[in-house]
This record gives sequence, structure tokens and C-alpha cells, in this order.
Amino acid sequence: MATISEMLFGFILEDKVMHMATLMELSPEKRQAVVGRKGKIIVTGSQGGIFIVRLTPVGIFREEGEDDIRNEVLMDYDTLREIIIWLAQLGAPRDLTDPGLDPRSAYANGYIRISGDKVLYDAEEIFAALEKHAFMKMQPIAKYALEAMRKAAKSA
Amino acid sequence: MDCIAPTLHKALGLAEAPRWEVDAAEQMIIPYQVDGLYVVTMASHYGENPAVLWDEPTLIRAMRELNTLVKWPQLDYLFLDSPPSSSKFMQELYDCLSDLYGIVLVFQPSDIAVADLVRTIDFIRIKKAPVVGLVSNMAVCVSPKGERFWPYLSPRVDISSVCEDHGIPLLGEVPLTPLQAKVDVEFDKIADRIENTKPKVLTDALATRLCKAIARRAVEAVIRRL
Repeated sequence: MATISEMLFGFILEDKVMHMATLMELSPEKRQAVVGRKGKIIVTGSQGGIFIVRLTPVGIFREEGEDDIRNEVLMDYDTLREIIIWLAQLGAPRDLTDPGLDPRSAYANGYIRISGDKVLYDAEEIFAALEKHAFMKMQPIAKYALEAMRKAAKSA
Repeated sequence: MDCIAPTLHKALGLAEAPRWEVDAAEQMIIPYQVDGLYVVTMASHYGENPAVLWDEPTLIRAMRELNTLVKWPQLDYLFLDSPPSSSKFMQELYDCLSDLYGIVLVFQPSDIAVADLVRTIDFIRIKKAPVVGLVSNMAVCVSPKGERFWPYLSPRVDISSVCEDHGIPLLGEVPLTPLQAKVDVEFDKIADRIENTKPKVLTDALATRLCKAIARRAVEAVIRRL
């Protein structure tokens, strides 16, 4: 059975229209710089997973193989869950008892670790792209995921 | 460089630090500009509110990257704000600054701060880093009516004698006051002195060297008797 991380990344990777729209919002210079990049996301824990992805001109695709990976992003499932909670509440009054955690804070707190040759530059690029182009588009997925997580927790 | 508790933007009068702009072609970070100063602060990267819980190797890597990944324009001076510490982070920082002009120490003249100051001087001496001088910060409190008083519990220390003991020029004393004009006068004097002072590498004071020699001879004498 797929883990929650796998389901979530499955949703995100499925939506090629969103990828293309996000990509088209970038400046041509920026687009040229990021297309072709390959990264690895590791979510540890029982609901985690490993996702090797490449950004192509027609969207983000899963790949196999460790070669050519520019950045590895490591976090545990609890951190991912906190980010989903944060994202689900984006632009709305935040639930103060469960506000979630924004990705930059999770990174500063040491819950997200990013490796690579230019970590500061790459991390800034990733966060900026998410904030400027992807978060609002990912919010319905986050809301859906949060709902699913809460249902799963109730039935457990 | 304010990796752990970034507040540089506040000191420059900004409510929050602007996000880093990046040069995608060269893959570099572009500093933002405030009143003719180009600024890079980690608050631009992760905000100023989260506690930074990076382990030391991660901090050191970030510091090294900041040293090479920033696309500075032609600069007259590059100022680097760092804490008084001899941590591994600071050791690495000094090691990777190949063209350091000089250090300006900024300390409060209180008993508790001077303990840190002396340790910092010792660290700088070991690192053989050049020192321009020392600024006594919040040297005295000046009220809006012009009354001068010492506002701290920790006893006041004669900072000029500390400077003399360690062969460091005293560049000036900045009062703690809401009277901006008083501070500006001191800042101007300090800036002039920094420009006109040649940085020097600190050597062991003669007395320290003598003490060490005497201690070494005493240990050798004890060993010989054994």
C-alpha cells in the first residue's frame, strides 16, 4: 500500500498542467537554468518515501538512478505533515493550535536538510519558486491531503 | 554575516529583510541595497523568527558558501559582523578570510563583557588576525537632559587600560542615548580613526611571555627533580 508521502507526491507529479504553468511563469533565463535539473527528496518514517525527480520542459517526472542529482532534500514525515498543514491554511486565518510549519522555518529549524554544491543558492531558488509560483497551486492538494490524513487518523 | 540570529536589516532600519534575489545565469546571490550599502543577511533566506538549529558543519558550509556565492559589486569595504566567540564556526571563518583588512572590536565596558573581550583578543592573537582597534559601545548612558550615568549592574571597567594592556588602540566610545547627534559625532570620530589606523597583528605581551617562560622553567625544574 502506498504511503501518504507517495500519495501526496503522486498527486503533485500527476498535475503536468500545474508544472507547465509554473514553468511558464519563470523568466526565460530562469527557465533555461532550471530545466533539466534532477533532485532527490527523501521523506523518512513509516509514511515516507524516496522520490527522484527531474524538471523537463513538459513538467516534472519521476526518474530512477542516482546519477546527475544536484540536490538531496531530506526530511521526516512529521515535517512533511507540518508543511502540508501550513500550506492548507495559506491565505486563510491560521489555526493557532495547529498552525503547521512553513518550509523556510522547517529548514532553519534543521528539520529539512538540503545537500548539494551550492546549498544556499539552491535552497533559495527552491523556496522562492515554491512561494512565487507553486504554493497557491498546491494548496488544494494540501487541503485534500490534510483531510485524508485526518480521516486516516480518526479511523486508526 | 549573521547566520544564527540575523538582525542586520533591523539595524539598517528595515522592518523585514528583503528576500534574496538570485542571478540564475551565474547562480549567485545578489545583495540588496540600503542607503548605498550592499547587504547580505541570512534573514533574507529563512526569515528572522525561526530558531536556527543547524549543526556546526552546516553553519560552516553556509558561511563558506556566503563567502563565494554573493555577487558583490565593486566595493570600497566589506564589513562582516560576527559574534565574540572562539567556536569552530569562528575559527573556520577566520581561516577562510584570506584578505582580511582588520578587525574592529565592539564591546561594552562592563566587567562581564570584558571577560569575553579578553578571550576574543586571545583568539584573535592565536589566529594572527590584524586588529584595527576597539570601540567601547554603550560606554555610558546619557539621558535626554544630558545627565551621564552607568546603567548596568555589572561594574564598569576602564576599557582604555584593557586596550593598553593588549596593545590595541581605543577608537572611541559610543554612549547609550536617545540623542542621535551625540552618537553621530562619535561615529564620525570612529570612522576617521579607523581610516587612519594601520591594523596590526597582536603579539604576546612581554609580561605574558615572561610569565610563560617562568612557568615553563618551573615545570622543567620539577621534572628534573623527579
